Amino acid sequence: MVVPFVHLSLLAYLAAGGCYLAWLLKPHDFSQRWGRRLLVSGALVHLAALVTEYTQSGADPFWRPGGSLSLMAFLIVTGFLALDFKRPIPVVGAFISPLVVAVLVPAHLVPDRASAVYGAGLVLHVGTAILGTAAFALSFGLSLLFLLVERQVKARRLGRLAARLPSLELVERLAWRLTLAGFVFLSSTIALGKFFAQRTGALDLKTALAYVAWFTYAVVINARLMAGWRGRRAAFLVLAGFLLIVGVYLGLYRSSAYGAII
Amino acid sequence: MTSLVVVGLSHRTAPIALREQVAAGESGAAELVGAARQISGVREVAIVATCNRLEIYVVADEPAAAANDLRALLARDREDVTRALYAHTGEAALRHFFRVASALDSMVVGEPQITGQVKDGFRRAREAGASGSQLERVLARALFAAKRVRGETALSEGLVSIASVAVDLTRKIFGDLEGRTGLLVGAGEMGSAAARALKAAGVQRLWVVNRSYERAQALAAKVGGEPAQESALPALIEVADVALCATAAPGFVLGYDLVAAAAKARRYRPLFLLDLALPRDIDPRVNLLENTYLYNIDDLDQVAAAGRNLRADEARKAEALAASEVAAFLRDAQVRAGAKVLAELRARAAEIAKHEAERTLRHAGPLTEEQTASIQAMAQAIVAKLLHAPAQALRAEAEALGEAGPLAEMAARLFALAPDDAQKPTLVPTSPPKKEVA
Repeated sequence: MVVPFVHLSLLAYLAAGGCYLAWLLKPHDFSQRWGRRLLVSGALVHLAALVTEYTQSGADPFWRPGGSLSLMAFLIVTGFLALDFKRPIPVVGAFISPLVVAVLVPAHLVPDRASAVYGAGLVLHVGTAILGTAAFALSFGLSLLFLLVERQVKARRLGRLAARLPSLELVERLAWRLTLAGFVFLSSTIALGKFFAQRTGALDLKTALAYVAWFTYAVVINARLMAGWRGRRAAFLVLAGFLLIVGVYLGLYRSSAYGAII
Repeated sequence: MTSLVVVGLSHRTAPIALREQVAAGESGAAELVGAARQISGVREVAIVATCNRLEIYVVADEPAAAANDLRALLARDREDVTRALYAHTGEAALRHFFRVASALDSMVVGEPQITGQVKDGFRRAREAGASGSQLERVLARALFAAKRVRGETALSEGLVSIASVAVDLTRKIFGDLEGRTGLLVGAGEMGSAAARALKAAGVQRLWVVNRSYERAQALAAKVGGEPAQESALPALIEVADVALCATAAPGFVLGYDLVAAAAKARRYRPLFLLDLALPRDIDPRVNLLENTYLYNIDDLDQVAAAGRNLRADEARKAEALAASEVAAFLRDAQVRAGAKVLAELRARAAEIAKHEAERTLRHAGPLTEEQTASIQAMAQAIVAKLLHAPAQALRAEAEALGEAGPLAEMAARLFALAPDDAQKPTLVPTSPPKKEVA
């Protein structure tokens, strides 16, 4: 029952992405409205899939690679919808929908290996990782958007998209808050991971990349707070940080011994 | 034959760097008017000088020669200026002026400021004794055309003025303008309009800086801002979110070093700078600074271009309207030449009727007011009825030929009117314009 639900939600996210892209080309209320409706529908079906999964197998699947990616995709969608309902940002939908699809597809492709270690520590570690990555994914999308808008404003060449793009400050503020939230979760993830790693003594590429990503985000936040760094430079660092996070996940799922690295 | 001539350059032919080199302030415009009046055959002169154009309008006996002399006057042997200059004579000059006055040739098509700027230019010419009845009538009709364009098309709706473009761009950077702070430097008309628009859009505090503090106070009262001393400028630029510069200063008011220091002090919070002056007030290099965005008048034009495209249909309507007003103006001018005979004939007849009625009244003894009025009305009625048929024939001829014809000539001879004056086509109509039915 779970798989058809996930497939349905995947289709809805794809269709929503199509609507948002259509909106970028021609800003009809129609495509914006349907983009949101499809995303909400997809999120509801996705929620049904997650609930079904939970009732069938408990929380365990969510701490596995496939389940955790699925949960992360759900959090990204709901995070975006929360922002979008507060202040419509359909252009961000055009970034986020494909990103969600990109997260949800591998959720089905990765082997469903069982975790080696169970317990509250693992749940916290994976849970904070999922929340942090979802926040970083949204801040990544917003930073991309910021760079797009900023480039147009700076070059004084406001293209056809200009009227449809939100203000620079709004995008920057949202990206900053999500980066802060992601950083808190990432710090917790690393601290919990470090705790488990000490038990096994393992340190691999994934962990190293996580440290570098943490350091990158720490630079973004510190530079902003201490030297007022914001705008383009900060956006590029946020992009770099998220790519490192993606690297962490690639390292995680390419690892032959998933359980061993926790 | 006298004809209208215009020579000038605008944002369409010259970039801002060139326009600021030939920009004429109030004194420069007065000098140009004086020099243009010295040109042989030039009867009347007026100048339209805005941030986006400098144009000399003259009524001259020899249009081609006058255009050449005016080109030389503006170019002053500069090759780049010569290339940017355009000249129109006769009907083309009229068409150009009507388009300018109707804001169809403006950077932001449909913007409302140009009408005031054209009026100012002609007022200054009038005060200097440089313009006369011909230019005044052209102006009256052009303003009438502008009024129709504003009233009968939707051209002035939406994103039309530099002010609204400025507000739109500020929103693009800051989003909601509630609680934001602004700074207006200088007393330029466009800057004031943009400042008012920003205030209306929600900007909370607006400082107004001028070289003269009294002027800053007056302007602040006008735009709803707070006056500030010129010396406070570096401190204000550190706290303002958006700054508008519209001074007549010859150099940069906001130099690179000043803005760079302010950007650092404000910890690179976004700063939006609008340079609405000519010559420019803000060093263009400040746009290289992080989170500092500088737009000058030409940049605003690019933004406005999108608005222009959106209003293309309305612009087409407005163009047709302005063209119909030019045609009506020319037709009026020609018809009035023929109708002048008719007007003189009527005036002569009315005078005779009045004179004869008074003579009759003198001999008739004491009459009541009603009886007196009745005799006067009878005399005027006899004249009107007698002239009804000839008047119709003369008007029909003038409208058919577009000028005074044989009938008009015959009438002038029969009634000993002034035939030369009557038949000479003039540039302008002799009566106020009538609204043409579209």
